[in-house]
Amino acid sequence: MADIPVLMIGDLLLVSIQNELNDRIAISLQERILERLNKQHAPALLIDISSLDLVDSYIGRVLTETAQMARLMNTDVVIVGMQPAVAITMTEMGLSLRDIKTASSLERGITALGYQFSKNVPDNDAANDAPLNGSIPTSSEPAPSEIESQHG
Amino acid sequence: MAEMVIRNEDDIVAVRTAARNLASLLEFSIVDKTRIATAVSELASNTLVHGGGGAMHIERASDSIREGIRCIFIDKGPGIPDIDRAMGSGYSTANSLGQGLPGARRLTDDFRIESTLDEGTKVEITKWKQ
Amino acid sequence: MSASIATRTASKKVKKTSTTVKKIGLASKKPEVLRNGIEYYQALIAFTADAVISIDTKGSIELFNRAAEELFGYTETEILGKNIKMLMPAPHHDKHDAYLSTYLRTGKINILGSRREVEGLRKDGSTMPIEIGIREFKVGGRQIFTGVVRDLTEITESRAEVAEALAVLDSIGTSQAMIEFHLDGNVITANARYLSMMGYTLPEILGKPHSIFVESDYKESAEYREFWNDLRAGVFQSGDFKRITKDGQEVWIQASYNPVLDPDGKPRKIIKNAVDITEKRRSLQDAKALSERQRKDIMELSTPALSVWDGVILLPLIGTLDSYRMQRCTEMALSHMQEEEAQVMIIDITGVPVMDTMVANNLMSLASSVRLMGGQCVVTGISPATAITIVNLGVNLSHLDTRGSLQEGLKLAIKMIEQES
Repeated sequence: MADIPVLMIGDLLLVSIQNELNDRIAISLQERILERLNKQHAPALLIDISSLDLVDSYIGRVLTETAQMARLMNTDVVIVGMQPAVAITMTEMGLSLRDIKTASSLERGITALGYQFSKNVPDNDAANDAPLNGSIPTSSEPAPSEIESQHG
Repeated sequence: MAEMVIRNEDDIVAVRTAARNLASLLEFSIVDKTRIATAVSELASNTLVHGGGGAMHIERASDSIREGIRCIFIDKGPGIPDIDRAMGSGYSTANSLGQGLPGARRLTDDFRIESTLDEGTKVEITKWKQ
Repeated sequence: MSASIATRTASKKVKKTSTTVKKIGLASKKPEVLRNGIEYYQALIAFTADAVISIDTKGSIELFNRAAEELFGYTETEILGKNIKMLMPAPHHDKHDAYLSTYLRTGKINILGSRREVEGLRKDGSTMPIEIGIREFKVGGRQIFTGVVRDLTEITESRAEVAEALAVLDSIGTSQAMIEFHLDGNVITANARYLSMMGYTLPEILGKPHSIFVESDYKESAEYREFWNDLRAGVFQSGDFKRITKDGQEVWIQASYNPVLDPDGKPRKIIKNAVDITEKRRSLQDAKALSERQRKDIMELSTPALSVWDGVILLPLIGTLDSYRMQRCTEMALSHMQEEEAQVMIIDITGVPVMDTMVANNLMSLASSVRLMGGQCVVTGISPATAITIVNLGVNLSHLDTRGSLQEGLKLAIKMIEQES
């Protein structure tokens, strides 16, 4: 199994998990993400699981831990594109990913982060407390300089 | 119908893929296939991590009115000291048995567990086609 | 009607006599000579417009003229000497020998002298309707049967079309109830359809006023008076009307009242055409009620969730749902949500008569799944009774957005969508 690609979109880190995720790869992914964040801070991390057709408790834990670790490094995390079957199964099992933000699609994830992102720069804490869904007033386009890629 | 070893993480992927494939063959719904594969993944994980490795026996199940899929996980590990506690959903998430057993039970129709200290554990799950 | 005939089958058209006479050069000969000459008669038979076939007592063909060749597709040479039954499709094919021998023995036959419609079998295997007229004669001690054959294909087809047109007219005619009134509103006559619709016989209504067919309160109304005033003035009226049958039953009709004008332009009588729409009307109303129920059933079976706004889907939970159905609903609703790329799911529980633990748990699971997928949930239709039950059951919905009515829920959902973008 090939390594899962970790990409930069502007300042956002994007991880797209393809089909099969075995435990080793999941752990290795976690390490790579944290290393990357360490090398260069990213305000946000998007984990795209739209191709993932199974999330068991182990993978759920890896995702949750990754999010918690990233947050400790001041990076916001959004998990996007969960498949309905996976959502149902996880709910039935009692896995909730409770503290992790989720979005139904990449676009929505980016848009929502975009708002947070532009607010994030001056005041981190307030932005982290603001819920992703619901009471966010209309966001403005993030300032161009913030999105511009610095390393490509 | 088939016996598969569970010795490492790749085997966990192999057994859940096999379970999903059999479920596809039996024309289970998409969500049921996910339930089956996830339950198998959980139990295979337990077999490896807590049982020190073992095997999964997978077969077609049938009784007089319906058909389904049955998986039996066997290991010769230390056994589960307190099954009731392990099965209670009050188990903390920090303990990796916390989600595994109760979760797998919720996803399947028939669930049977036998465990003897220092001898091993056997978990049998069955999912019937609706 | 005739346009379609032209495009139909391979029935060959028959050549005109005049053209064919020219071909054998008889045209040049003088009429007197021709009339007496044997060639004249031969030519006559050979080239007459109708197909002529003659057979002997065994049924073998002795004469097969040009028209017969064209009609059946055989050449004279290939058919002479063959049995006539070759030209007949089953079952006549097998019976002809019997018919022939019966006649020869008994002298009894139905077919001689009259024209009959039968089917003929062509060389290419196709059949066609034909009319035959058969005669017998004796010549030189031999008994010969001659038949004149006409292709009825075109006639049959146009007959069919006429019949069809008549049938259509007929059905229109009979499904329309018709009644005629004098200007004062008294009945002149009515057709069978009208009579059966209203439950009367003709004598019962002749000369009676139109008002016998309407409700008594309507009869006295100004509206009714105006209606007739307008008709008398020559104004055409149409619409849906409620009428009363002889038994006092209500019927609804879609009717037009046509004042018939005399040459001076003055109305002299009213002809009313009506169609009974009672059933249609009733079923429309039933349909509303039924379709509510049906829609819900269908929704449950196929796509329980409805897209009600861009990015918003509505899942109405109806009736007593067992665990299995609830699961199916959940699966379908979530798939739908994914397909529609919806952001908000409104779960409406107005139709849930009893809120119990099972439903509440399922509701919460559904909401969890929606949230896991990054969507938002709004639960609507919580009546005061339901609210009490939920709290008493110890079900905690405080983390969910809830609204009393669907309208309120929709408003909130739209606000959520707008805020997100």
